[in-house]
Amino acid sequence: MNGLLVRKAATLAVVQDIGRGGLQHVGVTRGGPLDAWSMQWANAVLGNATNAATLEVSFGGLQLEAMIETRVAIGGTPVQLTVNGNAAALWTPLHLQPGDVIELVAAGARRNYLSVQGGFETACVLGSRATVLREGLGGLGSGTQARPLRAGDLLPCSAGAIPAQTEQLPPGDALPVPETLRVLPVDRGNHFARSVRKQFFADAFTVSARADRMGCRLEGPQIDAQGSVEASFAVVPGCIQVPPDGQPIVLLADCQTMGGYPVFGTVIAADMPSLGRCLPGDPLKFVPVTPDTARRAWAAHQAGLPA
Amino acid sequence: MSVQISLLGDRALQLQCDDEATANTLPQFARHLRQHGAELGLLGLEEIVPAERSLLLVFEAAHSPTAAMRRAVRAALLAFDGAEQGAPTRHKLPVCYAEQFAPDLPAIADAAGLSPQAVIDQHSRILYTVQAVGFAPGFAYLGTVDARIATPRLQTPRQQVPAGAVGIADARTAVYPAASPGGWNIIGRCPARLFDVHQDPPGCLHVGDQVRFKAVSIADYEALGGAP
Repeated sequence: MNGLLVRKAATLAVVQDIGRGGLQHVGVTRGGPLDAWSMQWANAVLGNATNAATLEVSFGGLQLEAMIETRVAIGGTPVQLTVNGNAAALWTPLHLQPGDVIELVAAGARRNYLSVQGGFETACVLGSRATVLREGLGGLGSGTQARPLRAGDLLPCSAGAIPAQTEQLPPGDALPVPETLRVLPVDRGNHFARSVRKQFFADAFTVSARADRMGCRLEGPQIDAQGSVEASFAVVPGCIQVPPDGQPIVLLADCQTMGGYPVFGTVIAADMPSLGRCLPGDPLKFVPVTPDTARRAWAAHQAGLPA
Repeated sequence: MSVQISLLGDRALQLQCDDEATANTLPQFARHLRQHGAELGLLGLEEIVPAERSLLLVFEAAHSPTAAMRRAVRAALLAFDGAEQGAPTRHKLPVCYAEQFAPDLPAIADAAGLSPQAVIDQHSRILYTVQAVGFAPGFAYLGTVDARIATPRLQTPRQQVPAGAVGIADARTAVYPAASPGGWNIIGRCPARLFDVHQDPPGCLHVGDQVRFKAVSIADYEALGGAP
């Protein structure tokens, strides 16, 4: 058995690479990491391609046993991490021997990425190993019956050559959990009165307990849309949908390809990884920006990504 | 021609049409961009997603849309001659409307004051157009269903609708490509495989394509590979 054996999977843990692109017109969701910045750095720490398949672990609670000699690295938000019961550090290559057990403790965990030397070798479906549970794509086996990981599952990876020395690529201090996200408001065909727009940016929201990989549902001031959408249209992660209950949803990596609710605006690409670090109960505010600001923000974000 | 081109976030342009004539050219324009986008100066096109009255263009980060690209899209659309693109692709999909596959057929017939056979005739008579693809991989929204048999979604969606189920929701009809929860009124079962990850492209129905249903017997349905 080559790979990492799941000993405990009490949480949502799914294999993710950067996602399935170019298929939105046939209704296929892109998927991919909620926090692409952390996923890419977790790979870079091991010298992997930044798009190698990693394990996205939400809320910790995961225990894996190495069946082979390999290296792993854990990135993401601060988490209590142990190897054979001894504390270990994030953003560092961890050399594992067969039988070694690595654990991400649930208490205090938000969202983490576990990379393995060479990447996980689960089935590549439509050009990607990303898991989209709703579509059944990715995951173990043939890659068309995806389900959350269970104890006893084996995450396949190879006992490839391990570099004697790896360049350490520390991405900096503890990752920020955002308090404010930047938004490009929809510039035409607006469903939102000026007073509602003002309120959206003035008041704080709270991430709802119903947030998942499809959407970050918010609770807060009532945001009422005027009129309804006549025909569904294609949407992207970051779009802020406002359903009739007036509680906005920021679409995330597993969002459906089409939407039928009015869209208030879109969280800029540079802020999506930090949105991916939010948990239910976190407060969130939004601030409007211009396309130029969004462009500069992306350039700054990209400068901080691994080469 | 009335087309609005607006930003949807910092990676995408959304084209929206109010007039039907322009909206009808969007699926062909989407195909045109898929083949010739780079020649038209639109680099890094990652997703091209037509819908009923709109077309979404998603660009790679390195090519995020600028005002100049907005102008290039508008110019390309103005110069685009849909008539050159030829007739839309037509599909004929077999459907078995037998009782065991059609739990909601009696209710639709009752509400319309028609016999079940008349509902079947109405459903399979029309040449539908794929108005949008989404909700699930390969799920194509077909319009327009005859007003007499157009029926609102079920009050409570079913937890599981089988792959191939043919449903009606308001004036739309569709075939569920895979088993999923669903609230459409189910009136038949289609044996054809509409989404297959091993095919390229994986989905066979595209926005703008035309579809007609053909009623088949249970024996034909099974001969065509339909699951019992």
